[in-house]
Amino acid sequence: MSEQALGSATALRRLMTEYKQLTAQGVSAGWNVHCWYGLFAIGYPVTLTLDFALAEGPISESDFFTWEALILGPKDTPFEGGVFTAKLTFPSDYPLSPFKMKFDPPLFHPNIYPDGTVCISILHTPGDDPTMYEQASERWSPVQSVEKVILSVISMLAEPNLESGANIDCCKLYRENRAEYERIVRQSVREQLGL
Amino acid sequence: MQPNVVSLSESDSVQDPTDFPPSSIAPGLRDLDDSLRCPICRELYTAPVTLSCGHCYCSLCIRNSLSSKAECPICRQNASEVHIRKNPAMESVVKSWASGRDFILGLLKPQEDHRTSPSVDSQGKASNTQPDSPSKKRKRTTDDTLTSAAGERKLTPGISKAQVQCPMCNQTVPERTINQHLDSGCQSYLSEASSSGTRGQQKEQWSKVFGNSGITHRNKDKGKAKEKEKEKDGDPDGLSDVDPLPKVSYNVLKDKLIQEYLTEHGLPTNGGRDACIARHQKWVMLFNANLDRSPANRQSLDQLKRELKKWEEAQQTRKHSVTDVVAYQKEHKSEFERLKEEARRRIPDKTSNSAAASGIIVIDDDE
Ligand SMILES: [Zn+2]
Ligand SMILES: [Zn+2]
Ligand SMILES: [Zn+2]
Repeated sequence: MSEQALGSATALRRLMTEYKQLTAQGVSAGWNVHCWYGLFAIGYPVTLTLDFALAEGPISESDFFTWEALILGPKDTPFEGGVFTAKLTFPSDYPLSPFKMKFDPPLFHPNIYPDGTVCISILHTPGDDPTMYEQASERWSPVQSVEKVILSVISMLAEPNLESGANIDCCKLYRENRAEYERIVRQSVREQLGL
Repeated sequence: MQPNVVSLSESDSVQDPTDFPPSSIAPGLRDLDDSLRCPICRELYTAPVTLSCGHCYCSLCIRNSLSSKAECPICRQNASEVHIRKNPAMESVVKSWASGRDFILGLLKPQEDHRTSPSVDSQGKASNTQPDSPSKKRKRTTDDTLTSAAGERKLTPGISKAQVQCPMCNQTVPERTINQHLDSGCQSYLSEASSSGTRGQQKEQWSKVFGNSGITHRNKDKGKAKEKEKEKDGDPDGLSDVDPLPKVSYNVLKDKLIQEYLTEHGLPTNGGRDACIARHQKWVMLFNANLDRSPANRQSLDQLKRELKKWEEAQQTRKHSVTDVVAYQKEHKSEFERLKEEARRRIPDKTSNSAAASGIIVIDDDE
């Protein structure tokens, strides 16, 4: 884990650009963008993509290198209806190195470590494959972006990748007793919402 | 707001393609702006180069990227620095676009913006961008002004009403041009008022930092940004017939030799072996990337050294205050609670319509 840093001017400017583009594009694409003090929620039009919404933005004014994303559980998955908070932590050499993404509280999912850290190939640098199963073509490169990663994570929620499991128990359960896996996820979504 | 921190409002001063209206309003402009940007840094190309696959990046961006992974970041074809080729055509397109961009944006701005920004006039240069009558239709105004603008490239567009303080050098810079200012190594695009005096001072400070380096500067006054443009043969450091610096295998070199390499370029030798290696590596990168600019656009060795110093300072990780983050989360806890509340309310009828899962956010479904 690279410690949080104010980072280089290059990283900062690239982040500010992504941030601006995310919000601005959201508006012009007909998405709804809600803003509370730098926390942004972007609702994609249902007709355009998956049924989800996300919120993201720097967590505080003094730290552009930590963002918080709100992700809505994709439709027709056990995560549907949930609102999940993830923290994005950017390294000071971003975008050369990828950022880290961690759900807080953690999600029960084959590709999410029990501490909430997301294990997905797009967030791994080519030299760093904890599972050895990932295609080099799917890994991080400096032309990837927050938006692309979030989209990948959302489709990962819907379709776990069992070849690169991060939560072994969850993988096992998913493989052997899908109904129970889905029940646990649904249960946790309801608990998270206080139901 | 605390001083000297990046504020969210600063992100408004970032340039990106969405500064332009979508193609339904201004066909092609947003895409044009996008295609003149480096996919790594997302800024207008600086010293654009292409790899053998044809993909284009800023020289410095791709050199940085290749040093961590020897492939094209877009198509992942194997690549190395020897594949880098200058792209002077792209460079000149970008240069023209950069100089006309603000002007075009000014034409596209709603007229009220002009009317509520008297500071434009105080700069004394913006007269031509002012729409003469608010009742005129946008399209007409655009055509008129575009035509008349063709011959007057120096025109300052009347849209930079706001002045911001540069986070790097603390000088006052028009908000619109903060990026170009940063690109210039804090050398140009200063506000009219602050440009002459402050820059001189800053220059002096830097020259103190670096002392008199091994490479002497023949032309002390070369740095004036305004003159840079006129300076067609401007090549104060004699860089036009210089070869790129070769890569160095540092692990076979003695400390002393590495220090000599640094001294040779007038660079400091403090900080131990690793710091010296990192410094020299970065210097080679900056130096070679600079050679990928066409001679008229090259930075001086002084400017490159400033870049190097800036980079080194940024490497020294500054701890940020976690308490800020925690406080922020506390402060905004209610927002999250509200989101959850709204999501909860929706759950019973979640199967009833497709927009349901969008939950917190009301989705505009135009059909
Ligand atoms: Zn670049
Ligand atoms: Zn390529
Ligand atoms: Zn500056």
